[in-house]
Amino acid sequence: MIHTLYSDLPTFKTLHLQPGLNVLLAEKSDGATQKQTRNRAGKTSVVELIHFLLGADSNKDSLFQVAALREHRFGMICDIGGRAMKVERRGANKTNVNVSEPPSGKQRTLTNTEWTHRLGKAWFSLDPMGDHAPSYRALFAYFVRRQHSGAFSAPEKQATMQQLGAQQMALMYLLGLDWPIAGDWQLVRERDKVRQVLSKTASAGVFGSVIGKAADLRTQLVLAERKLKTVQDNLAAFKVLDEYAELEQEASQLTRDLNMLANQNTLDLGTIQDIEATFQTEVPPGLGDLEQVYRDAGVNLPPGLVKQRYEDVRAFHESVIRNRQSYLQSELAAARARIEARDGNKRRLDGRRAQIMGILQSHGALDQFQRLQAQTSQQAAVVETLRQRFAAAEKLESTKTELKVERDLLTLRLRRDFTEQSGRIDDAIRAFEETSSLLYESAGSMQVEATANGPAFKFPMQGSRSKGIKNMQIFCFDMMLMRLCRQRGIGPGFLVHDSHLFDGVDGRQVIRALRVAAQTANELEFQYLVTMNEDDAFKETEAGFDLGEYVLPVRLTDATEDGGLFGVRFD
Amino acid sequence: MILPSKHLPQERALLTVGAMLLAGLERPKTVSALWQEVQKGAPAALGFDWFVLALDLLYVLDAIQLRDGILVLRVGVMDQEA
Repeated sequence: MIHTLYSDLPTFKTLHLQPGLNVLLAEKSDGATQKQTRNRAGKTSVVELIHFLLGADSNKDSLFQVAALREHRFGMICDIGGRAMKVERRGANKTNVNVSEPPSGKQRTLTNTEWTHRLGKAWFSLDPMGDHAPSYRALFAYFVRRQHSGAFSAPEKQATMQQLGAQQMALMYLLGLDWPIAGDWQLVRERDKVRQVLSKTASAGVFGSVIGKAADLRTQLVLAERKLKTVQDNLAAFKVLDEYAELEQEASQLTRDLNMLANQNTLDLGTIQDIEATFQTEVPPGLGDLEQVYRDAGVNLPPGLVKQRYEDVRAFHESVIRNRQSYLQSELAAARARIEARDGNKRRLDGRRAQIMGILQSHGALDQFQRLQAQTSQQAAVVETLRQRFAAAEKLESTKTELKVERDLLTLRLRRDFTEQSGRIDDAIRAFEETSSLLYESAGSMQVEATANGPAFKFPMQGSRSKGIKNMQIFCFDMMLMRLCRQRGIGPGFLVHDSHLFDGVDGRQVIRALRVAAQTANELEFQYLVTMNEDDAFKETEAGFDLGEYVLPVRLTDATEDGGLFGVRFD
Repeated sequence: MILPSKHLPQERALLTVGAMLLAGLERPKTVSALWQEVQKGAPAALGFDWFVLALDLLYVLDAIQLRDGILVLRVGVMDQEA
């Protein structure tokens, strides 16, 4: 329960609250329009202040960042975990709160995050829970609904922007149901969202070409694989190797032949040089020498041995010399002829070799082979890409089935939980109906259903489209929540309702609701703080119920400059 | 020239050379063939002129003949010597 709300702002109207019902009234001045009154007196600011002190973020749009307020310390004394605690916070130092235990407790400075952890633990036993658990702030917001978050749009929502998963988790937690089911549901929902976005982009638009449909891709993959097979077969059957090797062999044989011919030419050139040298060195003897030999033979040798006439000897002599010379000449000619023949041969072989090299270079057999190879690897890459895309698309499509199965399993889990916990759900429904029947003749009801999208809270009530009746559903719902939380010993122990809750509500229902609230708060020992416009509060009276008993001595008004909660005007 | 003398060593004497050539002509040979053989086997450097004169001497003594460019021993030469 909240004991006191205060500030070091001198004009601030300190609020001292009592157990049970507390009504904070705002007087409507004569000259002001309804709208002005509501905005100026500070009824909604009370709600904002309680949030500010109990862990709300304080961004630059926050009331406590306004220049007139941000330097001022605001505080409250409030029961937390069975003990009265004092908490103070300043807009200028929004990340820290000062906490102490009055009257003499030492003051400790906590970060706002630590503070919310502490509150979560104290009020909702949230400590050991993981990421996909209800957060303290999500739970707390049901107890102090904020108009500017859209908390008065539907009973089950504490903010217009509240995600379905967070809402389901919070309510299941507060009603004592198996809240992790809602957490798992949220995971499935998030995965499904990603899957939907992916499959939408995968089947159309820019990304259509990146993934595509599994069925299309299967066809493309089969076609691409067949093409790859064809190219691979062509490559395997390609005969370029034999032809290439034959020509290459012939070319190297030609080179060897040409080398041999060149070698032989070298030898013959040597022969020619030798013979030419011989012509120089082999000088035949002159006829003088011959005559002398002939004469010597007649003189030196025994008589009768000289058998030839000189003329015959000379003829022999000359023919020997001629014979030798003609031999040399013919040798020379033969060597030259051989060289010439070889040169001709060389020219022929060289020509052939050039032709072969030309074929090898320009025939393109090798090029063709290389082209086939390149085509094969290119096609293999295409097939691989398609295979991966197909796998991705199939995964994407099978995810849809998987998620469907998971949803079905979760629905079963939820139904089982609802069956097992039917007592708690019945309590909730009964509590809602009890409050509702006290307000209306035909009582509205609450339904809790296990749908394919998780637990759904429905509130069928006649005329539920009217703003007033809707708001009273919220009232009933919150009373129900208070009842269940008190039974289970969780929650902050107070409920705060802004005057917006009574917008459009018939005067009779307003006064009845306040009576019901006073009784319930009394019965369940919780504190109920409600802010109202004075004229709304006293439109009707209820027998046996004096609202005046619950009205706080502090009254807010917009009639004077210092009449609001803060006692100063700011825009 | 034919016989060895004070100025002509024995191995240069035309008779000695001639005898060597006769040994080389056990089979008929061309002038060049015989000349190449002699050049290989000669103990001392033998000039082409000296080779031709030795052949001339053998012809004078009717030991050899030139028949169609081929040097041939006269029949019975070896026998006579033997």
